[in-house]
Amino acid sequence: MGPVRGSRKRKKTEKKHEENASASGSPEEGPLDWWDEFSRRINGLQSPSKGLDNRFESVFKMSRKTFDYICSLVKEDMMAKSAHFVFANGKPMSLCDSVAVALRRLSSGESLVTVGDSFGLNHSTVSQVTWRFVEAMEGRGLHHLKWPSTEPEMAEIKSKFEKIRGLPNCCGVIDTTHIMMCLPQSDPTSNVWLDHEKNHSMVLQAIVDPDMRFRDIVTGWPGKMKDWLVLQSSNLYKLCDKGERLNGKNLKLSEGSEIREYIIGDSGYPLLPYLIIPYEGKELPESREEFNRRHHATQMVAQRALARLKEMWRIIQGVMWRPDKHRLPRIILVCCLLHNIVIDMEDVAQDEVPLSHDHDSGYHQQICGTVDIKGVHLRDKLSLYLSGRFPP
Amino acid sequence: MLCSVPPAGKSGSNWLDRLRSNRGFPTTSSDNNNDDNNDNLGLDHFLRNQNPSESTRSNSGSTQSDQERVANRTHEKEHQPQQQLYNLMSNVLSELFFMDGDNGNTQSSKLSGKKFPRKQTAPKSLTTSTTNNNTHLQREEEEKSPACTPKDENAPTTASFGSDNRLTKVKEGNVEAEEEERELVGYSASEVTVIDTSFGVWKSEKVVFRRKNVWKVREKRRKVRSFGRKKRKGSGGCDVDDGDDEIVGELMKKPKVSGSESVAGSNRGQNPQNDLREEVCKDTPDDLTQVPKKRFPFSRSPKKSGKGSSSVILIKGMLSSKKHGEKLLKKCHEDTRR
Repeated sequence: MGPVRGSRKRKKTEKKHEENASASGSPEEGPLDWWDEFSRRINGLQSPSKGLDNRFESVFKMSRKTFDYICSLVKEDMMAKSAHFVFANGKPMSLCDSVAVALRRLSSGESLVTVGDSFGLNHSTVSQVTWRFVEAMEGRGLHHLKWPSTEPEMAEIKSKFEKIRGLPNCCGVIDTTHIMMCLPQSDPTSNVWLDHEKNHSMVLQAIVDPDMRFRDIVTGWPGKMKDWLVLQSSNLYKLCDKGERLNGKNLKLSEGSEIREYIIGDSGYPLLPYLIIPYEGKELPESREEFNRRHHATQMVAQRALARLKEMWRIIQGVMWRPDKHRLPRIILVCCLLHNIVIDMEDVAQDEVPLSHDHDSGYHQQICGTVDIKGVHLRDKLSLYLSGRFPP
Repeated sequence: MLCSVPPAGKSGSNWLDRLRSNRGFPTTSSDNNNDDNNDNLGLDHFLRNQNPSESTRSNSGSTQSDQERVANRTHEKEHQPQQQLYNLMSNVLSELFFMDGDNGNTQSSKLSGKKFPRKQTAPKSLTTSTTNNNTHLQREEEEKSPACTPKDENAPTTASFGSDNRLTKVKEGNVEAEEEERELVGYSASEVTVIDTSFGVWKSEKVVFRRKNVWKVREKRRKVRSFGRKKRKGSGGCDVDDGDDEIVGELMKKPKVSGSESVAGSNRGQNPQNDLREEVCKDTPDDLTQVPKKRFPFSRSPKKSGKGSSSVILIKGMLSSKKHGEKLLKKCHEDTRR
């Protein structure tokens, strides 16, 4: 404990020096922007070798414009609460400070202590600020994650999917990933979270549009629940079953032949009238092979989206240390909201995140094996259509 | 009030006599002494005689003096209202015991030699259900073996995904709740917070019961109601998360929530068998309490605990959610017919 305290004290004094130096040494900058001040503060807290990349984008993985938008979203909720947070030196935190700390915690995946140290905060303050941000985002940002509600919006989605690899009338891609946790082995309640790959995990099911936007998510279920069970338990499944979702315009392929709206998914899902999975088996006829290739290429959108989600919001990447299992789904939701906001703001910073599709490494492909006859017909029709052998 | 032990010299006491002599069971005479009209409603009478009009004949093969006594009594007082009451009671009893509805020959053979189990293996509630449901439950229990779990390797079937015809039973009140509790023995319970953005209420608290690959999902408030009880019973694997006591406590503090529990319970009861089994359409209970959840968004943060709405809204939500649940049930029926 002793050395740690000592080092903190040292950091504080260093920081004061830094502040004084910056205040007096750069008169030509004019009025200080929040970020200028903030970056100085955090850089002052870092040892020179470890100093953060000074660019806003590299610290928060988003542009300043997106950051300001997020601040405006949560302003009311973040500032309305009576208790105001303060830095370790007693200085009250502004809205931007709070949002910055929360975003840093979510995006870096660093521990509370590390984030706290780098921002000059007590680790419990980091925790509280982040949670307040999560609550505020849940309330204010949910409109960034919604099923397409208008026909033009859906038409655009279909058109973009068709451009990928020709799948007509496709409305989304469904996929599942696991958020891993480190839970105490001795606790019997941990057992339900132990998935088939022997990790403790929580499931995130997402339906993704061609821009890698999440359009529907389900999370919170234990990782042991298989993909199709999560689907079955979702409201999307019920709505589709009742014909209240994916019930838009049919696409006319030829005289007397139409295809309905559908989403695609991997073999971990059932083949349903509105959910198309690839053909199973080896040595398939060419038309089916071709269908599978196109299906797989289109499906990559969801894999990339989930990989990017985890890459950008690293708090849900890797293994979380004993998280609160009731809070974690809400953190996942907010990460998905932030993911969508970055896309909605057409933020160029997202392009800096390397594109990967490995979002669930170590997890094997599940096979559901349930097939609905209507789904079979639709898949065959699509396969024929895509292989060019569809009767005109 | 107690029945007199049958006089000595009888052809050996049967189980009923022994039970009575140990004060374990009220007799026909004890309960009916005051009102002769009820004489026919004695338990042993019902057990031995399925039809009062045949009662005398049915005892012909029996050597039991006790039976004769009952038979004579019945013979004397046979009235139409009694018959109705009798039918009612025998229905009730047949729910609980194996009663073949046949004549005394079978009965005597049972008594004399072969032992048949008297109690139904899975007696069900007497309120609304029919006998068929009973066997149904048993069958379902059997099906809970891994055989019914998702077939990973099996060839694809053309079964309609999500069709389950066993969601039909509509039960109410505590009887159903107890049954459900019994059903969940051996399951491990975990409370989870589930977020589903397709719901108007995107966040809900659920209790997941799991045994091997069988999953059952219940709304959390339900567990709150029976929480203390369950704990006392100490049902093996029913453990709850660390933070759950706190959550339960918080919910219980809300009078509005507990006040609506009976409604919620009956709603949920509509689908006691909605298990998350493979190829089984799951979980209307989720729907059923979604709306009230909206009214009481749970937050572990004490800052949010002040939020709430009037109980009027809550009840309204309940009703609509019930309706929704019924709709879903209907849907499931349709699925099975398909």
